[in-house]
Amino acid sequence: VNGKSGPTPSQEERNLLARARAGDAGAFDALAERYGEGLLRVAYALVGERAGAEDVVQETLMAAFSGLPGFRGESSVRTWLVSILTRQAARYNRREARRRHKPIADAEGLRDAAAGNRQDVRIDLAAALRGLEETYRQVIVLREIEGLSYDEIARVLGVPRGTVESRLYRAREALRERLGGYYD
Amino acid sequence: LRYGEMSEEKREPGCGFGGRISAFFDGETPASERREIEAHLAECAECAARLAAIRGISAALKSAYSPPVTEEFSDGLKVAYAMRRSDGILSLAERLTAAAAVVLAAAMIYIAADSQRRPLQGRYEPSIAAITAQMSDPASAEAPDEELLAKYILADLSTEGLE
Repeated sequence: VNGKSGPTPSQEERNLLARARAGDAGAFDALAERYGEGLLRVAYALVGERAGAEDVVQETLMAAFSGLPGFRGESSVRTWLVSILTRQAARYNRREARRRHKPIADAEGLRDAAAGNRQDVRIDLAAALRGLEETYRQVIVLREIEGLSYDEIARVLGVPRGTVESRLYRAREALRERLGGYYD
Repeated sequence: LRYGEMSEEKREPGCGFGGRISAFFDGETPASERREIEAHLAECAECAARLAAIRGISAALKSAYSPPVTEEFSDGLKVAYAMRRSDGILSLAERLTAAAAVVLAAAMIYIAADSQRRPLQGRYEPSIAAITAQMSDPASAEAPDEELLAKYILADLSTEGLE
């Protein structure tokens, strides 16, 4: 997510939060604008398609707007938003899996991002990511794309740090198995 | 849990360093363990290959998802978000309006029911008493007020009808 921040909200974020809580929608918009694109990128990696990513980010921002009174500022705004987004993305994926009666393993959107062999790698990479169990995909995305520390991931997912570590290892092993031809 | 110890499922197969290699790559290994892992990497070809693969996959993921979101994409998001929020505010207003309508309807029903109950509870009785008092007043007995008389008759009739 753009606008990396510390473990708790900065003074500027606190001001924006206070104004947003007081009903200043413009203040919340400023926060949404600051983190929106980064959230979109994470959502895209978690759900694998653009329209779904947009929906997930919108639902995340709406949920955050509604949940403003309950945000106690014990984590950064970024971590708080990513926590909401991760849950929204998981919900979206479950809904889509039920709708399609199968896991989604598409690589839409990455096809036009590269050419030749590089394109094949990206398609396979996206498909491999989509093929991971939700819990494994979450840790990989939060670590590799969002760049969160193990402690931050643990906070976002509400699991012990050791679980983050083991899930990351297993997720990487699964990706390596699927993409071994490229990276071994 | 120590770094590298598996907290889910069974322990990893092989040399047992897999989880620690993953954490080592992420810079999440305590300094006290790094030297041990580095020594292991120098000896274990499997873990050296694992580390190389983790590095390659990590770079590929960052590359695949790092390009900035296009302007069209983010503009679309802003518009959709603004519309969604407006919908939310609108629906909130609609909910409030509906709630107000329910309260108003309930209040009207209560008032109507109350006004039907009150005659039985004596709303007319003081009037009857007043009228009777006035009619029995010698000063007004000679020329009873027609309006008061009509009210008395009506009140009497309504009391009878309700009994």
